[in-house]
Amino acid sequence: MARVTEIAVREFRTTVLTKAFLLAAIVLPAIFWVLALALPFLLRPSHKPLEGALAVVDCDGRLAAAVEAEFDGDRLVRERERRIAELQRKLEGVLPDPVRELLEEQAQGTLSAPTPVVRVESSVDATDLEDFRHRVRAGELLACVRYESGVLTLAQETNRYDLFLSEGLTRQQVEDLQGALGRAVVTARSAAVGVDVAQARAALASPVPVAITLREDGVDVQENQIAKMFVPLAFMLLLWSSVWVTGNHLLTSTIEEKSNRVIEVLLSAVSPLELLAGKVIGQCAVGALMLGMYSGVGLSAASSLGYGHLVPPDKLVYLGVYFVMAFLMVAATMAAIGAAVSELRDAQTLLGPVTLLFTLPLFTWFFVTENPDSVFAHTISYIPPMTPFAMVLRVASVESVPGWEIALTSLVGFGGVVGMVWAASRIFRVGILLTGKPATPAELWKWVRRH
Amino acid sequence: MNAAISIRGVEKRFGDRVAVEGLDLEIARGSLCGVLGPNGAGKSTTLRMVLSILYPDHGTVEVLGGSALAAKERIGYLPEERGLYRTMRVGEYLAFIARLKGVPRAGLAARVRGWLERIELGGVEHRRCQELSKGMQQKVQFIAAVVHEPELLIFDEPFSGLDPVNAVVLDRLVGELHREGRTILLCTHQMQQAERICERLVLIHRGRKRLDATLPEIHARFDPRTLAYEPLEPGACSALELATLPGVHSVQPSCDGRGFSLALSAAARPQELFELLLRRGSARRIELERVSLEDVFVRVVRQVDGESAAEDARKELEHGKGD
Repeated sequence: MARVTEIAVREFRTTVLTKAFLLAAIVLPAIFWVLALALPFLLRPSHKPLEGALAVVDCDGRLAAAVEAEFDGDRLVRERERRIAELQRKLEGVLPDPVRELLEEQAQGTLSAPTPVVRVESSVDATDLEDFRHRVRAGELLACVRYESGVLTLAQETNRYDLFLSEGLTRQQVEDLQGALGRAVVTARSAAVGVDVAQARAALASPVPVAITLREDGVDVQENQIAKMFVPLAFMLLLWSSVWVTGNHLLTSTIEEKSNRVIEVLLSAVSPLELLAGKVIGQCAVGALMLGMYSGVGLSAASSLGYGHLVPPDKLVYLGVYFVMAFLMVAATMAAIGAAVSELRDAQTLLGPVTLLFTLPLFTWFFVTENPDSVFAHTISYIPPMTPFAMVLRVASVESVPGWEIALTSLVGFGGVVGMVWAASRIFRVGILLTGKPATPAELWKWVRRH
Repeated sequence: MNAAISIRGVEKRFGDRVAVEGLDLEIARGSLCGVLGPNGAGKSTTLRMVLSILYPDHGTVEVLGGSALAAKERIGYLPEERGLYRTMRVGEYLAFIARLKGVPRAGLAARVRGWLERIELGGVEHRRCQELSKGMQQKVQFIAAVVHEPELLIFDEPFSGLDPVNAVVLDRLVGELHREGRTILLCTHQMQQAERICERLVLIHRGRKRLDATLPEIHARFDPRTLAYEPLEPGACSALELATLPGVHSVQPSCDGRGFSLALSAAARPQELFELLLRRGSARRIELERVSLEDVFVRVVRQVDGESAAEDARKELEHGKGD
């Protein structure tokens, strides 16, 4: 055991104490974390308000008046305040305080942005349109709009208007303009049929659901469905990235020992199985370190945003168990491939199908998370090497997977681990001393069967 | 016999190819034994079985009184295909190998430094392996084989690729280790080197042991009974004159044309012939020729496998000299 420990410690140290690992495991997550914190600031809109004249041509001037009212400075400020109040009402009790405060802060930022200053020139004479168009083209007008009389009726086929824009308007400015022109039509049309727009809008507003889950332990929790969708994904990505990265470390270190010819020196001191065990344990520790670091960062982020309750401790325990299961599967496969080839480029042939096999669970995320109790989710839970990935999704998706199912899938999963490690150890024992041409899948199968 | 290594009836195949066949070998404790043969003869496979890196298909291998696996910490091995962890520091690498071989952590650094000094590599402890010259790397590899001070040392082609200066250093160390009482098994295809160092030689050809004897035994058994004679004055005597001497079977001019090679009859007494030749005049050289191990090897193969195999063996040896 002392020799296995020595190999494991060397494997761990040579992997962890490298610039590449420090960059991948510490610096990159730190950069992402900083970016995540800075994102609200970075994404704050830099609004360039509309400033200039707008020409309106309509049949009787009612629409021009409605457009002018839309661009009234006091009304614009009141409208903004109304929207922010509505946003606050919607967010109240739905989002955790830190997220709500973040969004409100952004909304306040938008409120303080300058309002549009638009002067409206109107005409009821359709022949003026051509002159307005020339002035738009010349840059004297921001835009020119022509409303047909039918737009004020309730007929769908006439529910349109023509808008002629000058060059250089931003997408946001065009959207602001179209929003105001559209609202002006709705206001004028509502007035024509005797409806109060504000009342109608209030009547049509859907109520905000405030869903509260009543837990058995007596705690009432407000759930966020979107966050609940992404927690399983985060679990799976954590699991997959930590086992895949360390599995690749195992592959390259095995090939390095073969190509460096240091393998025979090692095998004069330890048996192939001791060597394999030491390498696997060492890389397992590397993977656990990565998993711990990423989980820690993720958990602290979730807690600071008020989502900590979505990741209870028992789910973290399962994550650890499924990490060990998935890691041993990937490690056994990578060690076998590393032993079967002499150069990294030779490994690519064998690595292709293996990569596909272990990437497959990533594509099942949505289906399993959407319906963790479906036949599909149940089926892949019993197919190693899908078991750990499927189960981590299911465990993170639903409140509780039955204990018997966790036990049974663990039995199947670790049974698969035993089989894969057994086959890998046989390939490792034969392949580790061979140099030259890489082994074919048929030869690997022969090594596994050889006594 | 108090054997360090005892191999009985060992056979090893790789697919259809027989690497070692019916091998019996006993290596006494404290001896320095050379295993010789051309490349591909089965030497390295035999050593790997001694080290439990490979396992025989048939037969048994006993090392230091037990199984080869149990004796790993008491064996030092310098493989033919040797390497280092390129980015590891020399001291760390040697400490790592020593730890694998069961050396306690206490005093390990001093032990590593001591060996580096002993092999004239003082001061490289903190340098990375990849920063060393090839000769220095080979010395580090040698230390890796001996740092745990094992009872049994197995060196596979230890001198291959070494420059003459480093070869002398290694040669000296092998001698020192032998005098310390360690058993040394040296595997090489360089016959002259083995003849100079080893007490006992085992010749292997195509997976089979062809000869197993001490150096004096080999010399006695393969006495060529050939006398080299070179008069001080060129042309002082002729081949015809020399052929008349008692005990001389035939005479051939030497390759360089300066002397003669006298084949002696079975009844000839070399000492009497020495005196007769000296009486004929001053001589630059009179020498009873010693058989070379290459010749012994070819003769052994000829006796066992026939002329064609002997010719092949000669070519294999010639080919191996280039390594």
